[in-house]
Amino acid sequence: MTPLTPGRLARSTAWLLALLVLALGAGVLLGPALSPAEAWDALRLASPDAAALDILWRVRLPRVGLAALVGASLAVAGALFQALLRNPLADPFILGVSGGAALGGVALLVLGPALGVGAGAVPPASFAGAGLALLALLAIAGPQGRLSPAALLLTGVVLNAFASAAIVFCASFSGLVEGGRIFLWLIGSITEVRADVAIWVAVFLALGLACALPLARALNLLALGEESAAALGIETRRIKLLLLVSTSLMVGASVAVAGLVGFVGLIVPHLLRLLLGPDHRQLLPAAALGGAAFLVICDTAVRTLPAGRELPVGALTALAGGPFFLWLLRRSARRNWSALPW
Amino acid sequence: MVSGAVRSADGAPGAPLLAMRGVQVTLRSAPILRGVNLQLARGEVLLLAGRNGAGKTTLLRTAAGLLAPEAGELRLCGESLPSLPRREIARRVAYVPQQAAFAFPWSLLEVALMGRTPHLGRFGFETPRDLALARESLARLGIADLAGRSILEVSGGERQLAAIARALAQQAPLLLLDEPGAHLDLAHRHALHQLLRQLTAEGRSVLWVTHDLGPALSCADRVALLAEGRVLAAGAPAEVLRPDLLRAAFGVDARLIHSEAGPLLQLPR
Repeated sequence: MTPLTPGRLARSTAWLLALLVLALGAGVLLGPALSPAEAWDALRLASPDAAALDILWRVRLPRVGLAALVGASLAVAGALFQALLRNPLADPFILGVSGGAALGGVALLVLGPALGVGAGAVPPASFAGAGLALLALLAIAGPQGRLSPAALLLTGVVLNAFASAAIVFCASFSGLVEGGRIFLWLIGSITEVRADVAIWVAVFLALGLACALPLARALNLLALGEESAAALGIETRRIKLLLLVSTSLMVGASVAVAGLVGFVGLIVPHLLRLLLGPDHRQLLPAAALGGAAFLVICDTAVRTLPAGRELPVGALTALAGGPFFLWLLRRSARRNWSALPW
Repeated sequence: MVSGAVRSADGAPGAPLLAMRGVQVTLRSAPILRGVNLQLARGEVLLLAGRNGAGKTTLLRTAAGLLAPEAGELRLCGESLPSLPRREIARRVAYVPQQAAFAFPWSLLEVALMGRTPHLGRFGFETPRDLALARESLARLGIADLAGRSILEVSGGERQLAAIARALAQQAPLLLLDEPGAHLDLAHRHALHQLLRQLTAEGRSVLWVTHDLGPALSCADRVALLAEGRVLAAGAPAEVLRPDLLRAAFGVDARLIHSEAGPLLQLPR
């Protein structure tokens, strides 16, 4: 890959923006209850049918928008984790950070009524959960972050198992298990769209991106190891702190609205890195656009699949992501491991 | 702080490039450097030798500003190094660690280009000049033809050369090398020695940790022996590599001989 130029950055951004527009278009026009023609009419406010207008503007558009926000957050968080931990297999879901966020959210739902806080406060609670899980991960990885990929992934497995158990434990005390809501959250789904929560996601994503994008070049160097980055003039501690905050914001917000949608942060940055190269100045905006398009497409697919009942979107991403992860694992194991910093 | 003199990395022109006085460094509550005194002049190659665990790498990391000394004085171009901003240190000191670590498939040209970081604005892209400097650095290490190859696919020695190219592109007056020859074949090692001589002719200084006390001596101006966190002796190779000092530093009976092929350390049979 030749070094990044502003022209190449502009071209790749334009292509991914076009992809996102196509995905959003498909997401708005396709789905149950409305034919694409009816949806188009409702979108132009040319539909005489009040129910069609309601479905499109109150249900479908917010859902498509939320899928885009969640997809962008997860993909960017994945790319940031991979740079921070110098591990191409890192992903918020695999590392248990999403699990921590979910636990934070459930804990709030359980304790909230006693404290007088409503479900609208779930995103900040998820943010706190994500931050704590990530802190635990970094503490285990040690100051140099030199944890073997196997140990890192195992830590994620354990964090996830612990979070799931704690979630079920909390939920069984509070009646959240009924109606399958907790199940939908654990598998990841965007069926319920609440305006108050959606605003949080948009704000958290914007804050997270605002923190992370200016760090793009520093992230390039951080991927060489903290010492090398510091020797090139990078303030590594400040950058790690900013990354901690921004990834926790993005993961916390997306888990709060969509639950544990897995593997988006693995699949999207990896495919983009193959296509565009590893430069984070290009990879981060590309992950935001590509992640948004990816989850909108997945969500559109689960809405239009002729299943008996609507499939949760997390089931689809995990169905695609599981084999993808194994392929990546095998591929990186065959690589020259001595090139890697562990 | 951002005066013209600082930016040109001159500091006080008469001062030595690097000066350590009584420098003490402790790692995980174990004292590693116990009062190091060492000076490095401009345009000088100083070879740092000593047995494993003597504190050589710690000394380099301290000189690169990566470890803060607990006591003692550490000056770079006459200014106190610990009080300089990270970026300013990076403009004056380039550090090549023992093991180069890469997790993503950067091309070798991109790796060399990373050396330009301390000279770039926060959001700026590399200029054609940065690109030319990166290519020149690769060429000086004899790996210009690998510019487009992924760092994950080249050999360990080539990876090491790319890390040195990155340090060259940094254009710092002080170059810190931690056993750069460790993965290099004979030809590349020789090329590296010649490169170091060219660098000193350009006025740059090199602090070079090595176990290779043979051929490397031919391009060293001075040698410093490090033992138990202190500089045992520093000076011209012939003055320092005496049997008694070598015995004290390494615990073996070795002696410096001057063969036709250059200086050689002879070990007991």
